[in-house]
Amino acid sequence: MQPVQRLPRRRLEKAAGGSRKPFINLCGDYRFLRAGYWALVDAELNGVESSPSPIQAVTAQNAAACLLVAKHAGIETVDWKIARKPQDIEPPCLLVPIAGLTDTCYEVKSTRSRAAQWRSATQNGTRATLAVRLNGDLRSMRMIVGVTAHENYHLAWDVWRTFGVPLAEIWYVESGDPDGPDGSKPLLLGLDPLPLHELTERELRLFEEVSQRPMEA
Amino acid sequence: MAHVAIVSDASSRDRAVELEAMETYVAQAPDHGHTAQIIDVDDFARLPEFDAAFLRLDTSVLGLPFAVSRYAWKLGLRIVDDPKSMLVCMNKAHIQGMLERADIPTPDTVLLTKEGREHLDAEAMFAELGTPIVVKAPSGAFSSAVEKAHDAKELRALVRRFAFQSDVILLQRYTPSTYDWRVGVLCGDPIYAARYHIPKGGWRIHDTPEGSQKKEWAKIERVPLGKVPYAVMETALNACKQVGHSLYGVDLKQRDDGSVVVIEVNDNPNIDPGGELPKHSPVFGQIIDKIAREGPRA
Repeated sequence: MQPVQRLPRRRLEKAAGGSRKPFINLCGDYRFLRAGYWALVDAELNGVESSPSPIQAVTAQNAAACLLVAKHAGIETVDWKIARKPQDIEPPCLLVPIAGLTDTCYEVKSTRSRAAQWRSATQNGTRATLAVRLNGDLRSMRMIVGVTAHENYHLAWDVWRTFGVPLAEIWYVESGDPDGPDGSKPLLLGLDPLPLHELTERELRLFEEVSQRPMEA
Repeated sequence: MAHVAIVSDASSRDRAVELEAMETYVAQAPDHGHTAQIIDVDDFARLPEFDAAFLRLDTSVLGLPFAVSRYAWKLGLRIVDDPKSMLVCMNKAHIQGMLERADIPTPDTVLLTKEGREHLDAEAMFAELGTPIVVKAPSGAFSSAVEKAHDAKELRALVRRFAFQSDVILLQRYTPSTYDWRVGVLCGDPIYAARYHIPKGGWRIHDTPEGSQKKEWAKIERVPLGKVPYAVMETALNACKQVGHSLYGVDLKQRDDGSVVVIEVNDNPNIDPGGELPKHSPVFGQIIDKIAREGPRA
């Protein structure tokens, strides 16, 4: 073991006869300044295109950026606004810190509890939080390189295409009546890390199958 | 002609000199055929009304400013600070990597990874970097999360403390000086230069002077661009070229032998009337003009 570990300092070498192959980061946790993010920075510094790029990784983590970029890309998203004060919260809703879903979220069911929950979610008003309208059931699915075993496979593909994140837990609100004439639709809420070591046997087999296909994202 | 949004928040508007700067941008924009308007960061839904946006609030990668910058980028607006510059500048290790690879001089630096931390040979670090060692967390701003370690015990304690913030920590050779050079660069061109005189007895631009209990900011001495030493200016411009085409405040130190090292490249630098620029300086209007014509966009 080296006494000091450093980020590798490799000089960019020109690949003979073509460009370098992109690097798909399978860490699953790409949060800013965490191990998966450093691998992306290292790739960028060495001239290697990565998926996700550092900017995609942070966009996926930042709850507001994620929803704005998703909507711009044509993905249907939940309705949300910035909760600067308790009165901005109209129950039923979910309070989501902008720093990301993995930070604690709060479900606000009544106006009676909203002030206390707003204080908790915003750490007494010191950090920005989204108030997300809950007009359906809150659900999640696991996405592996754009593929999922779940019925909302279109959403999984759109998330991969837009954010370049190969492994993620996708949170969404299932809006509408599945048995009604118009059916229900998934509205994207946000993305959570899905570490590689948490994949099930079945998901690993799915990944093996997917990795045989050409990447288009 | 461009319509430019000056994006602010309550904190930035509460800072009197920042508000004065924003009002000066608005007042001088028509001199260049543009209009500028101060909007709140919460009003990001209005961004499509504008051709360009200029963020004048504390940037944070995991906050609304990054989301707004990213949205403006997606919309095709010219945006300062652009999201990529924010990401890079909020991560001192990322900047360090960029500068090293471009052979731009910086103090000797070790990027200590999570594994390296667990097997840290502090004595070897002092042998390599000298005493004291400057320990930095990658995302600190305004001299926060920057400390000096004088011995192995102090070094280990600081590394443990900063490990909560990041998997990578910077250890850097200390470069003593009584002032830092600050060069403001927008779209590749210098817009101002200053010496930041460090509070007496301190070593950071926001530090506690001798005999005082309270932290103070460095005193700003404006320096005309033509009077900035060539090595300082050239190094600052080369450093910015590595990071991007946005607005940066480059901190540099000139050593006794005349050589120059880059300490940091900051996004969203202060441009205070009466501080970095004289009050009512025409440069405020020129900044809006440059953002409107040359600011980074997708």
